[in-house]
Amino acid sequence: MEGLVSLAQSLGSFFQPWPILLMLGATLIGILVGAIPGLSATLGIALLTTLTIKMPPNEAILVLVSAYIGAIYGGSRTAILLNIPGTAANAAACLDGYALARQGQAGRAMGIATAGSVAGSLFGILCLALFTPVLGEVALSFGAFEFFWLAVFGVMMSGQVTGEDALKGWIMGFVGLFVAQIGQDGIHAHNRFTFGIADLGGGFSLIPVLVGVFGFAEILTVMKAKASRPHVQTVDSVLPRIGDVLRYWKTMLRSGVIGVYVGILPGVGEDMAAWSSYAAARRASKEREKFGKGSVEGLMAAETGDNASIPGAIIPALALGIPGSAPAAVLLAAMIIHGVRPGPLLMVEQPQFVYDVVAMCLMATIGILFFGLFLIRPLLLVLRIPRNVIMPIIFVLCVVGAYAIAQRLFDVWTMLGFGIAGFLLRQFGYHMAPFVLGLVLGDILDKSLRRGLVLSDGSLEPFFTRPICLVLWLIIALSVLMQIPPTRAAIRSGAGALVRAVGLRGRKR
Amino acid sequence: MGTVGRGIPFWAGAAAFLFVYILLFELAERRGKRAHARAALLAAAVGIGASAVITFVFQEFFLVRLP
Repeated sequence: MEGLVSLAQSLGSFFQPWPILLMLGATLIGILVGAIPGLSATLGIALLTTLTIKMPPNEAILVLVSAYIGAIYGGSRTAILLNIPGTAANAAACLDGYALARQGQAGRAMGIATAGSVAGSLFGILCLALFTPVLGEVALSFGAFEFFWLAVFGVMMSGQVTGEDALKGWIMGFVGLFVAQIGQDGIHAHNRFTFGIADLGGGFSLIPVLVGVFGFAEILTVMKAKASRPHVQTVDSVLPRIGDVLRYWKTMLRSGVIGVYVGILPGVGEDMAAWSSYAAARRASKEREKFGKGSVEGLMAAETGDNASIPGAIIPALALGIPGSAPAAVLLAAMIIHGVRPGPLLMVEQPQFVYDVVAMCLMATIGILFFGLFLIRPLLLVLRIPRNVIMPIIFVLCVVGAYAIAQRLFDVWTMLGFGIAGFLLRQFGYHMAPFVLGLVLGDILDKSLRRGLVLSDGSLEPFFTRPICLVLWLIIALSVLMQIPPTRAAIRSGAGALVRAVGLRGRKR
Repeated sequence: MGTVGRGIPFWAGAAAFLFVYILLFELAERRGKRAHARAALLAAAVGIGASAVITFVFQEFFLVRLP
């Protein structure tokens, strides 16, 4: 009941003319960023963080949340019309969305994407409102030992699930953890790995690094690819059909659950949520043969899953201070810049903020519904802007964005350096999401390890024997062992034998 | 990038960068004198327009002191 009152207060404070205007503007920017291939949700939020730095905290976070939800939704336009995912999260939508567009049903496909995105977002928002306070309560019992393993768990999970090679993901995660150690340490302010460079004393700022690896690296990747003038499909009515929604409500519900679950997993982004939802829908479908050839159910599953994962990714960011995805990592950084302290103490110190975020997500969902229904055709014009024009403008924005946070040129060089490194690493199949998570979690990991060692008087025992720690390190150990072929085979045969033995015993009874 | 922070104002550096970048990439894709002239016009318009808008927005609205 108390939660409902808080939510009503938040909704009351945000449903005012100025916040609504801000939300509409930010959602539109998000949709445009998402729709333009090469611009990701992470870059959009990172650049907007620099633009909103002087705004009051609630208005700034409203802008960022709206842009986040708008970007993931906007990416589906490009996926449907051009067969190019606007953001990585929309790759699954290409399969059936573009097939539908080629059958002359582009409008219907966009209607399905809108319905799925709105339904997914609403389901995710419900989970955000219900689970964040609960997870926050549980997290209050976490100590330094548990947070150490949570940080390692986040990096390992993100590394394992992002990309095809878990080892490359883990390498990137640990590189991120290492980069986070550069600069003065958070407890005694000793310089670490600064090599006498004064600018490195504060470490690498998160936003310039993110703008580099998601912005500049992306620009280089896009410009390296062969140029093509997009051919936009003609669009029929974009109004979602009630029949499509009612017929596939089970798929939407399942995809919502999967999306939120994947979103909660640290560093596992919206793209994984879309693919997992798509695969689950395909397995359960009676029309399996239609998948990949214009399946309404497939498109619905993918779009519901990726949008549901957005509030899902915000849950651990608020309750634990551990982001569920790369864009959520930027959002987390922005919250910290604006004086909010996400983590277990958030529900104690600023409980209203959680409901503020719920209200922001709800407003942004209304925003994507509004733009999805009424502003599709003008938005399609953006897709006609040649990349030779849009990419250098984005580059200039990356430079100004990196500079604007602290107004020092060092951040611009940081952005360029990490951008080039990110571009080269991506060419070899190293993904940036685990790196970003490592960068964000590096501070928590370092402080938790050292505080834990102080509390245990130098003993490592509590790190392995406390119940939650035990579960976390066992999962981590198992996930590593599962990547080594001989141990994977042994674990699988052992698990199979166990299942058979349990089954046999059950039957005897 | 080399011009930023070395005396040349940001807006001029940004306009020059945008002009050169767009011109080079557009020339590589277009054939004929007319097309080249149109590419130069486009590059100049985008360069001046975008750098002016970006500079104005960041300096006046977001109060960033650009170099």
